[in-house]
Amino acid sequence: MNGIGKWIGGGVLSILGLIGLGISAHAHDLAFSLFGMLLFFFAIVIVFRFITLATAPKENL
Amino acid sequence: MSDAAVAISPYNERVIRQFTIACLFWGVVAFLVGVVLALQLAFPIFNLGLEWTSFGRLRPVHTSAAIFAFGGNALFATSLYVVQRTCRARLFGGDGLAEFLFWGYQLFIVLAASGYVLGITEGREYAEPEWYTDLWLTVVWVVYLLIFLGTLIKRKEPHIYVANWFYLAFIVTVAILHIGNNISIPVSLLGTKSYSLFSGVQDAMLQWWYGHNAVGFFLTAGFLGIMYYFVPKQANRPVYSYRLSVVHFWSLIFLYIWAGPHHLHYTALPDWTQTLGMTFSVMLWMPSWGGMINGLMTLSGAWDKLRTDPVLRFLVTSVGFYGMSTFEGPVMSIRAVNSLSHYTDWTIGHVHSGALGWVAFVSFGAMYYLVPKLWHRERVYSIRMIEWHFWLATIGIVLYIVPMWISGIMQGLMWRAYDELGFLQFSFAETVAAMHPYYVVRLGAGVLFLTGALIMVYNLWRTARGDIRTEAKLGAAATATA
Amino acid sequence: MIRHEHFETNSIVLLIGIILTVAIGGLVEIVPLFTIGETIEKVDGVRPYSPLELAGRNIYIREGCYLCHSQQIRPFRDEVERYGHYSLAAESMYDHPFQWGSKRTGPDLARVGGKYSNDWHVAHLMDPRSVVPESIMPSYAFMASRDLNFPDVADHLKTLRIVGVPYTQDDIDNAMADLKAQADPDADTTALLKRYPKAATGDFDGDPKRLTEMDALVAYLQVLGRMVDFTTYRPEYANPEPANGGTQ
Repeated sequence: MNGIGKWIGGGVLSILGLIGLGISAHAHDLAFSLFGMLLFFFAIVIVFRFITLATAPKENL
Repeated sequence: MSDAAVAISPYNERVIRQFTIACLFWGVVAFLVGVVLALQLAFPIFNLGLEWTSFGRLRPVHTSAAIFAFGGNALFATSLYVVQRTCRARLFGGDGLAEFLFWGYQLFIVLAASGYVLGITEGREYAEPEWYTDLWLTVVWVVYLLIFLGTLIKRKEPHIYVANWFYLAFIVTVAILHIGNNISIPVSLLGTKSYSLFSGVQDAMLQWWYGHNAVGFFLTAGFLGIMYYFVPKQANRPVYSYRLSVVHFWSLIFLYIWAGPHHLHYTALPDWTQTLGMTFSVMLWMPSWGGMINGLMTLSGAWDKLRTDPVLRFLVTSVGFYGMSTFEGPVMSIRAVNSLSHYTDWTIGHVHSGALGWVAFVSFGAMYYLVPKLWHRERVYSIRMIEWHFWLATIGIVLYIVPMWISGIMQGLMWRAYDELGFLQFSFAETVAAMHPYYVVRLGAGVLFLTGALIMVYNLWRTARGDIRTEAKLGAAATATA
Repeated sequence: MIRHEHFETNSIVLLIGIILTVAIGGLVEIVPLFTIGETIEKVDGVRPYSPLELAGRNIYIREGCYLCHSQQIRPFRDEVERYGHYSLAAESMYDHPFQWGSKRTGPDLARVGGKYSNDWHVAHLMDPRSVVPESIMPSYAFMASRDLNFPDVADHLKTLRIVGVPYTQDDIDNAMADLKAQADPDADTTALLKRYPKAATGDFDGDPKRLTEMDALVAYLQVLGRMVDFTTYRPEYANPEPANGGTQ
């Protein structure tokens, strides 16, 4: 993903994280709540990784 | 990981390293849970009386960890490595998309496994994850197809290498199977429970169309992709026959799909479907052995390498077990044989000869090949430890399969035994008691297999760190090279 | 003429070739099961699960019981003698998902209904080895002390209706009441039994005051294989009509 793709990807995943939080809050059962939380943490990890990749010095990846 | 002296690679190796580590991690988890299950079957007290640790809740953790977590990560690591190198093109979608693929797949694994322990399951073998996890996997899988296919499309090499046909068939067919077998309606979009769209006999056919082809495409076609790259590379020999690869590829992917009904012999599935399943399963023996022959004969002129190269030995032994399993499978698909084997431990023995002998061994071979390359090390830390791993694992496999053959056939015969007065000779409980010694041996087998895997993990960890163990070379008396 | 090189030098052609090749077997084996009426021959007595039986079934699936117990009796002399009449397609027509199973670490349960008393089932589930010393089954004692949590039972019936189970509006409106009444020895179960004939009623788990997971699971086990009355089978009538001309 180059240029604008990184921003779109990051944006989509951030929204996914917020959706995860919402799911977790409104879930009917504990397991679904856990699902929402995992989605949220996943989004955080991924956006962090995107930022790391985008800001890393050019080297062997 | 980023050695200053290393040249910049034109390929994305980071994501391959990530998948490799995940494969090894989940492999140990899968084997460990397998050992726990074997322990529980031999000594039921180890269910602990807790809902989260009962056999019924843990079994899908084991099967999913073995197939999707261990096997899946092995396929991701190798397919993305192979497609880049055989296409001479970096992964399509860039590093970000590959990063998403990696973490997205691990999330799928965590969602599935945590669900099972909590009792979240659709009750379908190898398709236990509930609707929300299924949807997430679909997203991840579409990304996988995009990356793989995109890389193929941007290739600089005009001809698509054979391993990639198998990988592509695996990716695309698994997508179709996954969607076809997981159509369910959630009770609420904010809850975990859903009900399958289909029921009864139609659901059974759909499930085993899926279930058998999870084996056929996930565990066979995908891993044949691994074989077709890593065996010739490790043996430093070309694949035996291009023509054979073309013929057996198309016939394999055509015939495999039909085999599902052999899981449903003598059930309420219509006879015509059972007969189709049986006939095609028997025919399937041929393209399967075509693959085995192609893999084994690639060693033509290089058989002596097996003495000194345990990695090659893993790869070649895996192909041997592949041949064994793909002979046993068609035999068990014959209705008369199946009337004895269905519901017994023989099925379990068959599964594990394929899963341990073929899938795990070819994955181990690929891991031993990949780690030194990906971490830019001269060689694996210890060749001798690979030897130890090989023998522990092989003995483990034999001690797994043989007791299961005995217990399986025995229980099948005991269930149908009549005494001289014409009464059923054995109560069901008596047949359970008769299984015990074989379950204990099987437990030992699992421990051996797990121990071998732990040796591998240690060996590869030291390899990644750049350590080399001083040790006597293998076959040192006869040759100078290891 | 189709040449294999076409597939090996064009990835989209390869993709399409693979998809077409793998589609055939599935279509041939799956589609006719929906269009051929005789796939599920109509059998009197087969009915949807009652709310309590459904709750029990969901527990059965949750605990992975199908991993050790099959629910599909094959037409073999020894099997029919040990378990009862071989399983008919119609008997699992409302099973979403099917639970035929693929392994018998424990016995087949397709016709376990009515074979053992409620007390036996409870004792067995609490501690299997107390009634079957050779058993390797885990203990499910926690079910007896856990209240059944099924507040959205009506929604479950509605969802099942969407996937083709013929629950009536009456069934759905009375879902919660039926759920409670089936395990209550003092309740009037006439309406329940009209909606769900041959359902087992009364206290299951030995504690009439509580509706527990144990009640639900035992209620489910006690209906397995009971719906069809095999004493009315007449071999002369061996060409029954298909169920509704084909599709479920």
